[in-house]
Amino acid sequence: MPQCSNCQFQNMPGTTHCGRCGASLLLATALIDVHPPRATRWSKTWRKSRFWHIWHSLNHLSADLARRVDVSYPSSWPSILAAVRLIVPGWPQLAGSKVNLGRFLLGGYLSCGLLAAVCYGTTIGSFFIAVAITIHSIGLYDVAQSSSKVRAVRISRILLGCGLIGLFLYLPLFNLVPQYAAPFAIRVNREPLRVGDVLLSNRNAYVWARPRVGDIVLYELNPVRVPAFEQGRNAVLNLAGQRVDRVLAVPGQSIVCDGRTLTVDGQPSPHRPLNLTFSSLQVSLIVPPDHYFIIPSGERIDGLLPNNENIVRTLSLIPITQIEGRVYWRNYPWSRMGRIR
Amino acid sequence: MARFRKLELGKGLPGDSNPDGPSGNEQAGCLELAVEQRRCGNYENALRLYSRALEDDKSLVTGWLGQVQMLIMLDESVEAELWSRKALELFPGNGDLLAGRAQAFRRMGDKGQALLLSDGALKSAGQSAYRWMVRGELMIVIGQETHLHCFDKAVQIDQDWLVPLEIALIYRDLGAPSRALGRIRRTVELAPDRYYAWFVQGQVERDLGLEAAAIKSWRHCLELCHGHVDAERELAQLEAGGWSVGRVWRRLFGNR
Repeated sequence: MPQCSNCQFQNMPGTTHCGRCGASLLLATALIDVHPPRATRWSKTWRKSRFWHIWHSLNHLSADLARRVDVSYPSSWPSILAAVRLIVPGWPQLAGSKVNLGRFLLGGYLSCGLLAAVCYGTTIGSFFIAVAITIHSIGLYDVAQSSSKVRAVRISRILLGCGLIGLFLYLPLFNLVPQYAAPFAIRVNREPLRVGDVLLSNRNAYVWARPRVGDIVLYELNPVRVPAFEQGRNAVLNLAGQRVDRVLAVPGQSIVCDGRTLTVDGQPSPHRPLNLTFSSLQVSLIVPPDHYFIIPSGERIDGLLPNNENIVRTLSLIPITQIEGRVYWRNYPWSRMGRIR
Repeated sequence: MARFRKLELGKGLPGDSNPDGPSGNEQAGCLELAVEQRRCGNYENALRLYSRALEDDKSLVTGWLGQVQMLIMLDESVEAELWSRKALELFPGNGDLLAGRAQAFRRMGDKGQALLLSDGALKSAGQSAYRWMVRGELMIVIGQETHLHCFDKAVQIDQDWLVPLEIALIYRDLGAPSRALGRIRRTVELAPDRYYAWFVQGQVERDLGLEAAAIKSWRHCLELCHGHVDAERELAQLEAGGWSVGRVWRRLFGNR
């Protein structure tokens, strides 16, 4: 007569679970991990802080809310709190009993996220983003796998979870991040920018504000055909496309450039184009409204511009509508990573 | 490795010599040792011994409960809650485990959940001092004077000196050393030869500002256990910190 170790009830021989309390009668030889999870020194210190109590209170509130909402929630579905935890990869596992898996998922996700941020705008960066999303999906898969015994239900939950996370987390994220950190890869060498450089620009910088003198901006060059003489033959340079350079004057300011110094409103300007060897440009003009004076430095136009005032105006006076954003950071290569000044 | 046979490595823990895990006797020894370590205030060792006892027989409810209690004592309430949940899956409705989970929730600050679980613990079959201790702790937190009755009930159920000591620790944890003092003095009366009781009494007295009494208690603790690290440290801190005429007098004339 096997006796239950929990309630001391004498069960019939051959039974695997206690008839009174439901405890397993085969526990003595069962394969169960008997070593409890331990708190690290860091987490103990963190739990003693006031912030932890605030955080914990918020957790209680959300749990209470989830319990209240659960009144009309199908009991066979995962709880709302569990669904909320799916947002952070590894959180459901850390909150449950799969601590190691949770740590692996969270650590892997954060590592890939960090590498993706560091390589943002490059192929490797895209690869790490994909790996991070895959890790997130593995977390979802694990939760869905343990949520039901029915295969169809599990598959539908995986699909539903991936769909919801994609819709409410990654879609807004992938729409929002490029607005404030749009990568722009340099395709042509124009010192100090080199082929392969990845610059980050804020596309929303000039939604509420106007460009200021000294800002480095990404803009669309006015298309212009410049007559040139190359390799002993007459040729035409087609200048167009996106450029990155510094705003040298704003609307209303008068510009005088004698090929060596740049004077703005009669004062020598402290700003220079990105490429300091910017040609022997000679121009004198007043910046019209809604236009900005930007010299496309680094172009092969030496000796051509001084002869043609119209080409100079077309190239260097950029309408506000063609300024796409403010460039603030060189993200790649790592050796030259840093703020662009 | 004959040359290592004569090394004096101390007594060691049971099961150290047996790589396949402890036998039945060793397992009982593990539990006894765990309780003994707990009585000495070595909660980390006690936790390891409870785990070792469970390695061989997972059906020992006392082992699971001991683990949960030790985790709480070690300020690891989140882990204790998780572990008690796991233990309750194995032993559904076990009153002591419910009480353990209630205590873990209380330490995490979730009074509502703790009260529900404590209600469940008291309703479940059997009775134990631990359930009433947890109930008393909850009553203090919600500001009801019934905690006195709960603790009295716990002491009535189990005459062991560990019960009033753990009640004193609960009072101390909740910032009520004046109430803890009565309980810990009762403990010392019951077990004057247990150094941990003297040590806790010293701590409670220090909390109350009774420095001379605390020093006495810790000296008693050191008499019973030479080289008790915590007592030595507390004593050194108390003697080094602050300034008082009495302390200077003792230092000068060696009234030790």
